[in-house]
Amino acid sequence: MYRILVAAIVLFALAKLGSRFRAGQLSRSRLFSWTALWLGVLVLGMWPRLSDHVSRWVNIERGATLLFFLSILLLFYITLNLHLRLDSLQRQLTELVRVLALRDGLQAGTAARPSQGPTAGTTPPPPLPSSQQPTPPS
Amino acid sequence: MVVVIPAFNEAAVLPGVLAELAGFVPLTQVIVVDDASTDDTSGVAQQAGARVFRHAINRGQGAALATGLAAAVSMGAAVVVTFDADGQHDPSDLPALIAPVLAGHAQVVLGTRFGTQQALAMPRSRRLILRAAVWFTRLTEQVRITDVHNGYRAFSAHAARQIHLRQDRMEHASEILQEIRRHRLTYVECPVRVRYTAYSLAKGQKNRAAVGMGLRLLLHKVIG
Repeated sequence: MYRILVAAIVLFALAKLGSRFRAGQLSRSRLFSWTALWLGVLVLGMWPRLSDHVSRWVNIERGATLLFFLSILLLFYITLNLHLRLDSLQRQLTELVRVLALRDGLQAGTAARPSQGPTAGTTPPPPLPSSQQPTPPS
Repeated sequence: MVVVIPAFNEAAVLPGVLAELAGFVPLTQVIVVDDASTDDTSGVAQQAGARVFRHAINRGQGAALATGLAAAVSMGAAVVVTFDADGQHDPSDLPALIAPVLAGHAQVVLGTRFGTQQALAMPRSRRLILRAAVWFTRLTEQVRITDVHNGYRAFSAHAARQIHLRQDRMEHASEILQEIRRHRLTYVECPVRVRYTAYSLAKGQKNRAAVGMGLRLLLHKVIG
């Protein structure tokens, strides 16, 4: 009975992956890796004793224990990946907010350079990247 | 010289802060970076005569500071000073703070409340947390300073261009030290006065936030 359940869940997951891929929401490489993972789940679901053979190769007594360790590692990897992507998104968001603030602030302000006193040299302002160049007022 | 003031919901005190600052620097050389305040921080800053740069959404003090540094560099500042918006900093310390940069003795000057001047009315718990921050920074960044979380700093134009902050929130204070070490910038400390008021203590970081800050810094160092 549980084999039927495992097979049903895996087929459902693969169908979901397929529809996401067709809709362009999933890359080919991610489709491949997720499909490989779910096929692994299917194989172990159909032949559970297989995990015991594999676990003895790596000196772990029971297949269930090996699967547990591997699941933990996989979850750590996924969490790290999500953290890095979230961090990257946050940085991109801050950069976007900064570019907009600089564009609006520099447009609104005067063009005069601040005076720096008799002992300080004048430093020419670095050119803004082309994406940050203020547009001339109409 | 350009003074950069990151600000979030400081409309109540900002007019007083800017009025005091006006005695030492023309307000056209003061940049207020409004980090998407929900009060009229931008309005009062503009009315006072400061240059205002406004974040469309709140990104944190570190992000606001980085925006201010970029704006100051764009304006051609030879010296950039960062200054808190809550009235804790004393503008009369400005000449001493920027003197090493103008003289070419240092590229970064870091204000310290633990110099010869004692911080006025610093709560004991805050003092302990700041000491722990100094110890943590010496361990992780190998930069020996006495006051990690002092927002009163001066940068040469070169230093302001080199420093690239990725930490949006309060962890930027430690990241500035990391950048100083990474770019081998010369730095000195300068004693500055810090005025603790009921307003600044209520507005500032809570002591319990220090643990989270330390953990995030460690995570950033390990994972990047």
